[in-house]
Amino acid sequence: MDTKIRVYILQKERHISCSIIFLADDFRVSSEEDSKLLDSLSKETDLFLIFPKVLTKKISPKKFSTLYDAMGYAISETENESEAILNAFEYLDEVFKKHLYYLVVNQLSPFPIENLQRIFGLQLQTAVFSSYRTDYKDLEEIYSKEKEYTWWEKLLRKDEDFENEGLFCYSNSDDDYFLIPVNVFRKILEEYGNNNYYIDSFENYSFNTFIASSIQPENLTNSKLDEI
Amino acid sequence: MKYKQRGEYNKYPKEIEEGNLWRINESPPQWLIDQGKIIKITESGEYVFDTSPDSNGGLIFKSQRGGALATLPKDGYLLYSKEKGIIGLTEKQLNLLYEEKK
Repeated sequence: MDTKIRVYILQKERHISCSIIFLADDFRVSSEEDSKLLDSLSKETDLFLIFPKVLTKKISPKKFSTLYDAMGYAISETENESEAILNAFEYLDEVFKKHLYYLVVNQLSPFPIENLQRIFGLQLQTAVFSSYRTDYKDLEEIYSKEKEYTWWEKLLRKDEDFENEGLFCYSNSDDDYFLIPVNVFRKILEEYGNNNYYIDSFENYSFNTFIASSIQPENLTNSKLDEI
Repeated sequence: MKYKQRGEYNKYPKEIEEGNLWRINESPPQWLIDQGKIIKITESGEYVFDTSPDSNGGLIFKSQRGGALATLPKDGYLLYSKEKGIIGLTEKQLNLLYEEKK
């Protein structure tokens, strides 16, 4: 896939796992807890931060990444979070070929990060996060942007204009942490990496929707990471 | 063709000068002839380097002293710079790390 990020590596990889965080446009470390979580992530995993271009006007990516002992960071030219995370994964996997697990962090929230080593010991083959089938309300929200159609009519339409509007979203997740073994990530990249229609359709959705919709349901353990 | 890094990773050179990127079906550049161990030169003037296969389908080039000089990944490139020496790169790595310098 064409990469839309510029990657800056600050130090060599040290762990078998890598945490990827796509920072929101208005990101800020808002509490001591956030700061501690970032510290813990960099202690237990190789921390990799993705800065949307607009955020670089408020935060210096290099200073911030160095402060939290990150392995590296990327500046994203795309606002599509899922695309930027896939780009980051592709780079990290291809250039380092070292990480067995990727922990994608949606939002900093309390989580027993010190348990990660124990989880890695389980040699997981499947991704770990909880997901749910997109329900009627979500579908209505996604497919009913144009009022003259009901969501169901719109879903069934074959017109090109409607072809690429969130049609691939069938699952979602409310989790903040997604543990994805490298083989699962590679499969996703292989399957969807060159499918721009698919990836573009998630432009207005978080990585949660992308990952939940992209992983086959049987590949999910359907467990929250902190419940293992 | 010249390349520059898309971001920054100091394991690799910031720029690749013309002639410093080589793939196996091209005639070998001087920097490889100077540093690689040559077993023989054929009648048609082709250099035969001392190599051994690696486990991923690549080729390990030996140095003149007999140690490993660099590994050429399968269908990949060898890249040379004064500061970093000779480094192997896959096609994908090249595309992720570098962009054409205009």
